Amino acid sequence: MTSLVATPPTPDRGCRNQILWECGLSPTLHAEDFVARVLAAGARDVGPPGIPSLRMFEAPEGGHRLVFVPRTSRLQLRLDAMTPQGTRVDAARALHAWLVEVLTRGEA
Amino acid sequence: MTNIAHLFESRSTMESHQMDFLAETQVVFHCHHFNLFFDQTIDDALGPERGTELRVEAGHKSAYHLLRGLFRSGRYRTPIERLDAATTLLRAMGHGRVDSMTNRSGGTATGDYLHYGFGWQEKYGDAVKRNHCADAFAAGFLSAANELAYDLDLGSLATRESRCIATGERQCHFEVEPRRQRLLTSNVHPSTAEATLPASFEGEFEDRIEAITKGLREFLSGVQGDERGVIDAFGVLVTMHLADYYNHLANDTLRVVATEKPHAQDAFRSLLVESGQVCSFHTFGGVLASPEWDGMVGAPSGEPSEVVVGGLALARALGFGRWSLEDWIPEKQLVLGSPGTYESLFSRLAPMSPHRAPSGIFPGAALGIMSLAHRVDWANKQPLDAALYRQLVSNNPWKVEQTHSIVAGDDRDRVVVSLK
Repeated sequence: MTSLVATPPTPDRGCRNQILWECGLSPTLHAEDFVARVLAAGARDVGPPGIPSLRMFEAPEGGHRLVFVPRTSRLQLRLDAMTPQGTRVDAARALHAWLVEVLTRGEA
Repeated sequence: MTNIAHLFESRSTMESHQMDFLAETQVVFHCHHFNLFFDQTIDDALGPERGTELRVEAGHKSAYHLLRGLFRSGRYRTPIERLDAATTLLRAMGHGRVDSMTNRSGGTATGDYLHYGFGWQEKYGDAVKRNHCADAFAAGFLSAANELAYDLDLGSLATRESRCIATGERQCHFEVEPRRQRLLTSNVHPSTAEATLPASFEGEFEDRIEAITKGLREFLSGVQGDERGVIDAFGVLVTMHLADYYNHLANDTLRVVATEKPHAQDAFRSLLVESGQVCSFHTFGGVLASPEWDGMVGAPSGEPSEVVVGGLALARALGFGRWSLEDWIPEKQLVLGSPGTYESLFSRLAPMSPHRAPSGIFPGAALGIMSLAHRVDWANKQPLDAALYRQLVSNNPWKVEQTHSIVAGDDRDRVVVSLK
């Protein structure tokens, strides 16, 4: 169940070392449900203004962001820009673990 | 406490030529890869000591123009108000945070998250040891901010960065001291730009390029540094920077190189062009790969025209100029035209000098767009890493030539990328 909801993070394309992580979402998870669940878990809606087709949320801890494209269900875990290099893998894993917990909360 | 919205009230765009101004000073967006490469080009040409000197001067001259324009509004009157406005603006532009403890005779300042020092750490970490400080722009900015805060003439103060996180320190430190320097400036004012630039023109795929540019500009209008002075847009570490910083620096460096190391002029010019390749690979490539782009435009499918169109829209939205596609033969030739770029506009307005730096961003980015369009496997999400950059640059099948320039009196800048 867990691995189907949000696959473990893998490095996303970008020009910065281990700041951007890709995370696949289950095809059965509707975009509206994803948004509702992360907001209910205390994530902050941080826009961005000007792109209605993109949602961005700041996780309750660490300043890390979830960048979500509802049309394609693409999800990027974007670590805070100042996350120390040696801690980025652990930070991505912790963010993913939080996300899985949020998306499976209340399910048997 | 300065209100950032007030600081950005003076933003304006010359839409016909896709050029942006803040407090009547031309601004562009550039990422830390480009900024570090550009500064390194100067240090490679002149050595770190002389390079730092010129970089600080360029920051000083360009920031003086910006802040003088900002303070002309009359909103900021006292030294405290002016220094607060200046440092808040630096932060809003994504250059980091400085705390200035100065009076009209100088003093000290500290810096956190400063763009160049932090960018160096981000890019190289412990892999490359650096022995000289990186934040010359912030040093020059501090000189200008203090001069204008205390109603001193340009060149009355000089700032030296004495400690930097790029060399392993925990925080950056600056010393601001009285000094009498003669700094020659030449700046681009929006009204002069309007009067100087040739008429703009359209190219191929114009509707698509314009629509994407509009969306990007809307997004960028809301981009500003966070409380630390960091802009993380599209997953890229970005600054709003002063076009004249790059322009002063390129021209001042070429003057010194031409006088003292004439044999190195061609190498310096080549590196300026490579800086454009660095920009297109990291900034254009990073944006094209981002979820923001995915949401706004749709992820690149691997069709080269998407990348060419996207690259031109990005150049426009970042304030580089109204770049247009004049001709394109896939795999073989790319011809771009523009009624000026932020580099050629400066050179056209600069006093006649035998040592005017050539454009680097326009030809370099054109070469980079061709590589991104044809040599990156977008469909399979090829990583845009340092290894790919080295591969693209070292095995490049194309060459680039600037055939027309508004500096030489032509009605446009034109660059032609063709097979070697």
